Amino acid sequence: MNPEQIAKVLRHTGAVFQGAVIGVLLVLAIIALLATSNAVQLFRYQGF
Amino acid sequence: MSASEFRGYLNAFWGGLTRVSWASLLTTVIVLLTLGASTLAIGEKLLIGRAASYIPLHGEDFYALATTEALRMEHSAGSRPALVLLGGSATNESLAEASEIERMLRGAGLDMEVFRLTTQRQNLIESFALLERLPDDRPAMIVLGLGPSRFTWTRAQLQKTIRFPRLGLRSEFLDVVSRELAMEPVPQTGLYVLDNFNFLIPRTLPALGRYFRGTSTPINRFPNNGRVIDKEEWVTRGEQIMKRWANYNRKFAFNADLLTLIIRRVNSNPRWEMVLIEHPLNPAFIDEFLGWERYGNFLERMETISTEERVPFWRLHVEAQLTSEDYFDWAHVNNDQARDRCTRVLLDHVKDVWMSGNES
Repeated sequence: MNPEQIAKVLRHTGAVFQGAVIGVLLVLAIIALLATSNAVQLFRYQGF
Repeated sequence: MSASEFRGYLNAFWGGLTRVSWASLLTTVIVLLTLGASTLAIGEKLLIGRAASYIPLHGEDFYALATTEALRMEHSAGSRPALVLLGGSATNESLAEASEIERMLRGAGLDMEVFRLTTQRQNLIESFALLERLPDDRPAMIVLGLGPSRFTWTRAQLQKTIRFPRLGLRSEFLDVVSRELAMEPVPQTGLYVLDNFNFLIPRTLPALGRYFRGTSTPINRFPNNGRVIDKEEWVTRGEQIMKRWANYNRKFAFNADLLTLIIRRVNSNPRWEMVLIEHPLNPAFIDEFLGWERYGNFLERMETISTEERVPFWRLHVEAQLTSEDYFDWAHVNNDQARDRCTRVLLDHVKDVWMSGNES
């Protein structure tokens, strides 16, 4: 593999890594947002 | 590899990592779809075993404990007769830990598996949802803890616990019960995660955190142990509890219908025995807030239900001779000795009923 091909592979690896991190963070952020709204509902009426 | 070559490779990687590209966008979409699909594939069985120790939000998250315990009861291959304990916080604090009860039962010659399914202010819809997880073919004794406050739930409050369940146990059977009570059922998808969204979502991130740290939630089963209430809090709590008694007659009738449904469900299975127990109630609370007439009225109604439905009603706290000093507040036992006495009284009765049931 010549240096250009290696650089291309590394560039794509970086892009995949970026995509994976953003994907995981997005999932965690969605859960956190939902949790905030649901947690309110969850605890509000425990005191019936 | 020369230093300039290495720097070139590093720049290429960094360029891919920091610039938005089709490859990074595509990966994000793939990750989102994969995680989404995996999440939907999560089933009830994931909440049994080790995962059960990560799920509780805090030491007194008895909804999570009861949910995972009910799922364990449903999916474990245990063949020993089950002793299922249902009830609210007052019942919870009046009975020993499950392992201790099992030990005491063994001492009395009974080999039973104890499932503690008590939660704070459990209503009868929730008791039903928990009980539904008991396999039909498993011999069992079901103990349901009750007090006058159990019958103070309004239809609207119960409807809310169906729409926003505190337990992760939504099921089609609950829909049937809802319809019988003229309450609107919530549509089911058949996917555990979606059907129990309210239960799972707030617990997901803390559970993941505990999973990666390898620590489980420390459980505080008896939060009022050793606590003594001051006069101001006693009055505040007493007045707060008494607000539940508005329109008591109407609420009692509605909740009694639910109780009858549960009793008949249990009695329809020849392998199951049902008993009702009255959870501890501080005599000082009856003196100062509830009133003995109102309390006597409750007891009369319970005796009627007990006779008509042919189910025992045991008044544990009376037999265990609890006094006002054994309570933290209106109904919660605050010491191990009182809890031990109540447990022993219960187990003596359980032994009698179980033995006589198995002889006939």
